[in-house]
Amino acid sequence: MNQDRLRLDLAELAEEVTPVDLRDRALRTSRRLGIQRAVATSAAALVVLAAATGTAFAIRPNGDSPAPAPAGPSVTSTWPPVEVTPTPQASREPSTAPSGSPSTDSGTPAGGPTFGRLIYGPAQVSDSPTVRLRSWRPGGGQPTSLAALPEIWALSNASVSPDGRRLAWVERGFDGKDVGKLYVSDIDGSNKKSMASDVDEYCITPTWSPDSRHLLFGTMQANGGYDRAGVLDTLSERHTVQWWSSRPEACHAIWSADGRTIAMNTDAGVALYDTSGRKQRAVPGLSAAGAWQSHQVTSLAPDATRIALFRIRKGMDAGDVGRLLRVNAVLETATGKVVDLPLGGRDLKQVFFQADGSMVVRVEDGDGRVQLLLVDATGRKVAEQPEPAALRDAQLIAAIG
Amino acid sequence: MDPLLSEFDSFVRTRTPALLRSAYLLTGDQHLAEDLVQSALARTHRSWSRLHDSGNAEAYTRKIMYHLQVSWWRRHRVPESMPGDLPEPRGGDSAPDHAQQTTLRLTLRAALAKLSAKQRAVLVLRFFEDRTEAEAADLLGVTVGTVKSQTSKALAKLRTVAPELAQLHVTEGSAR
Repeated sequence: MNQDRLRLDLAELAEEVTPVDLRDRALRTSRRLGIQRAVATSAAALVVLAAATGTAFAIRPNGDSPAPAPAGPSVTSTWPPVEVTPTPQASREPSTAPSGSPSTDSGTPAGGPTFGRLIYGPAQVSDSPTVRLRSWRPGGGQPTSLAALPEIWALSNASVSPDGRRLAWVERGFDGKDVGKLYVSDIDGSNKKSMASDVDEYCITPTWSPDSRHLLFGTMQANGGYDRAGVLDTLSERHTVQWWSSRPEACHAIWSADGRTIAMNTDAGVALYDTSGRKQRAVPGLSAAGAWQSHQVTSLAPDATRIALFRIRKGMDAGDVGRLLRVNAVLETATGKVVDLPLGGRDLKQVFFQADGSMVVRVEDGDGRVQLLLVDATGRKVAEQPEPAALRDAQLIAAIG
Repeated sequence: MDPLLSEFDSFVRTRTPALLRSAYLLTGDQHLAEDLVQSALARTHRSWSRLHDSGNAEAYTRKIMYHLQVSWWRRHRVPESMPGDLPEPRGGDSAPDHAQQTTLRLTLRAALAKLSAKQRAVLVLRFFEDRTEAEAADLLGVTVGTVKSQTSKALAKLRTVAPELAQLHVTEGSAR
């Protein structure tokens, strides 16, 4: 067989496939993604929904035993535990980030919760190799530009520190040379530093601790399997890591502002872990066998009593491992009960908890207008602000405040 | 019907067979191929208002498809859906008859299943879609050097896992 022969045999082999009409299925997937209205979706071209054909793509990590530690700069297993800062207070000060410059006029009543600074990233794939994250405070004028990141990684895993000053993200090249590097930079993109290699870019993606110093992250084996999870001290000289004793079969970590709880998606459900990776309990009402499932969590209340997530009915497209920051429900983590939100008949798009327990709720009306609601811990709307049209195709990736 | 949707329908129905053929070579499985094309088409639909009159819709869809496939395999380790056991080699005539052709095709099919997603992708791009190395590199988001090296590794792997394809080669310097 020569080169031409290979061509012929490949062509012949390709003819084995049976042509089918994928129009309706593609449109269903499109709608599931919220494509027609440019709704926020999961990350990047690398992220896609499993098909409606019943072909199952496991969302959870494989159960392979941990492999040797990945090659990361000065990664050890001897650093002190995460420093927990109980119930941190939301900063009311504008970030000192170079381009943050939020307004103090948030349109909220004095004495109550206020809108913090919101960080936006891309909501969908475009032709742009890089995109700029943006910052905006409701009632505070136009968005300002922050760091420019490769679009796919901005979608997939970019994480903003709770103090709004730093970014973490993972880049993985297709050429095998850039093997899942974890980077940290200032929020404007300056001072970029490589922190570790062989890092997981989709499942346990970098997640900041409440003290904005440590990063929970996962690692990958050379063969593509999931490896370990650990917490990196970004300010330590040797970038020390406290490895968890085992990696949970879970993805999409979010860390409560009280520092005590990490929530993650398990197989079609959500579980709460302590900061050492030990499972504490599952959120009721979400499971592979039950009526409701969730494969995407977005934000956790400061005391981990509530969680904002995307849930689906059993049998619906489960999606894949990529990050989805769309929210369609807020649940009580102890009971699984749905928390009523004052949406005013509008579509819920996103919810992010602020450190004081209030929620930034992003809604869209039938005419495509996007509003941001500030909802206090009791579920009462205390403020509402229109979102600038400039952020129409963006999605929230963090609420700083 | 919405004119844009009508155009999208036409695009899907016209191009799906060709997309499925590439997807089948990439995945080795009918259902996985359908999944892959469906997912890529969904993303194309999402950008259709921008793509429909650009003439780039198919290129966009294919690019998405290749990226998805490389990503799927790496992240999910989807179990091989193609048979892992190679068919017994047939001896006989120097001019292969139909049965022998079939056996060779099965052999190639099984051998492709042994390759990494990236190696399969470069083989499909280079030898099925007849893409240049530069085009393949652009589609996969890698360097031309990576395309060269992955092609070389893929062919070497095929020779190793399927000795009956021993004549398989690409002459040095023949690549475009």
